[in-house]
Amino acid sequence: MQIYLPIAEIPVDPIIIIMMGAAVGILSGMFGIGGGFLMTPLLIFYGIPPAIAVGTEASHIVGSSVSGAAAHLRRKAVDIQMGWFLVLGGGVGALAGVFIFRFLRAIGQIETVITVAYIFFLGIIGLLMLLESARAIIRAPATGAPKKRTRRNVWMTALPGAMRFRRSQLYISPLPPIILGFIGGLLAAIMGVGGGFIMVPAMIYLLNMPTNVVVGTSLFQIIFVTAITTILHAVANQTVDIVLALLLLTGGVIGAQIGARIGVRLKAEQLRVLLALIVLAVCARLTFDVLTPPTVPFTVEIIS
Amino acid sequence: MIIRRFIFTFWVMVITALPPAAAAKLSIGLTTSQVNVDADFSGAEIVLFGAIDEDLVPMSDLVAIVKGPSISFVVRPIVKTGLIWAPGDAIDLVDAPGLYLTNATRPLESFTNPPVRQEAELDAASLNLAEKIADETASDEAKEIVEAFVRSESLAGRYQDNIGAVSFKDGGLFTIDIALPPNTPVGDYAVDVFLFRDGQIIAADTAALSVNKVGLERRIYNLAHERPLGYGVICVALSLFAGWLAAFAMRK
Repeated sequence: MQIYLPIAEIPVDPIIIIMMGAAVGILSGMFGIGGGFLMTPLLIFYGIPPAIAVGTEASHIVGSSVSGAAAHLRRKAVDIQMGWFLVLGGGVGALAGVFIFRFLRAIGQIETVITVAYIFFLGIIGLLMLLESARAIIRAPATGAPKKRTRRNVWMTALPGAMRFRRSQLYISPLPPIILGFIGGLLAAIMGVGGGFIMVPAMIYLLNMPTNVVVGTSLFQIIFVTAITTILHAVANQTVDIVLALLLLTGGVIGAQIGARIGVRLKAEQLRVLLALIVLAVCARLTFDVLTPPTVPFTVEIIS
Repeated sequence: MIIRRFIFTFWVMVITALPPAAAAKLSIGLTTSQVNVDADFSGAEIVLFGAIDEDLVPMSDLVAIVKGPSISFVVRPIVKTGLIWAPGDAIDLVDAPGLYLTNATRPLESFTNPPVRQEAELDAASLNLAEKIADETASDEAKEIVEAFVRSESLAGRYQDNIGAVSFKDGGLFTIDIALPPNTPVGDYAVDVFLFRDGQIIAADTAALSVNKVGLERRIYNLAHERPLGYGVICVALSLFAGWLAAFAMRK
């Protein structure tokens, strides 16, 4: 069976697309990640034009983040005030990102930039996760009490407009979260990711937010930023394929349920090693693609 | 199949009913003049019907060319920049055919010579694409670009040569099965058929074909291109709703 994608303008096998959605959904359920940074390369490997893969992923992430964000909101595990500042920066970042995307597409370099950005980020994240989990497995039972985190951050308080974030028990300027949001929005628009993989560690280590609100706040802002990104891509680049996004969502739902069940049976360190290896495998494939001479030594594109 | 046979019979009736005086050496028709691209489009099969004078059959060759709408392309050589392979400078190919299918009785070389092939643009290799290059380019570079473009389109299935595609029936009637690939561009097509004898064209006929997006495909595509803001908002709303629905269904 084949379904013709109206925007990508190619026929795809819906079963394979749903299964790809499910596979990434399983990983999302197991690891609590959004999965955009795995889905975009997968779509490109399948043959979806990179520009369409990125635009469609924004729309897909909106849908796949809803249930998680709602669950965290119900548990009041979201710093909504912080979230809005992230969205503010994220919206501006997405706007900048979509125009950079549009420019790179016009000069024919978008594919290369997406690939290199993925190699860079997947490589760093994969290696960091592998090292961290290897260390955790080697000295398994953690000894000594965890270091007490300081709630005060001198330079962030010194920046203009410092205010109290009650849910995070922080007194900082809104500038750092706005800048962080901006970077997240930029990555969402150029790479087709939610940006949770940057946002979560940055909120913990840079903003010093308490870990129990970090994931919820990240999901909360991701929904808004990817929604803005979807609309901007639709307007500026016409690269959002809603049929593809809905097929991916269908698979993702099934996958996330399976993943959550597998996830509880495995130890956190084992999970992280597994995810690190998956991330590095995708990174290796992309690296191989740009380092080897192409089979067809020309690219041919239609000018619309 | 039954429909196809019926259509064939219909064409036999039409063609044989033509008065002898009006009987050209060659006349053709298509089973359909419109191909619809809808949600389950994965290419299309259309049948070209035609007739030639019966006594011409043994010594003649037929070539049918399906020529797609003119599209502008940008070709970029992939060059090594530093460590990685990336697209280099762009070369625009303006108004090249978006599809070029050649269906012939025998390999073109066996009954035509190069000037004839180039004059009638019988196959993708004989297309004069070098003149479609927008910028000033050296002729050897232009040749390389054109060859790369034709190879790329051939790999994509949009430029194809199909030899032995013509099947003759009784009484000078013939059919040619035309297979449009899944990535067929939408637009207006021309189907040209040439009758060859002794290496020269002795008769020609043409038929029009249009490929259109229909149904939901068309509506989604038009919405995305004509009202992109509305389309973007709908995408977000549908994704939110699908995500919510899924979470709701799974909790039950």
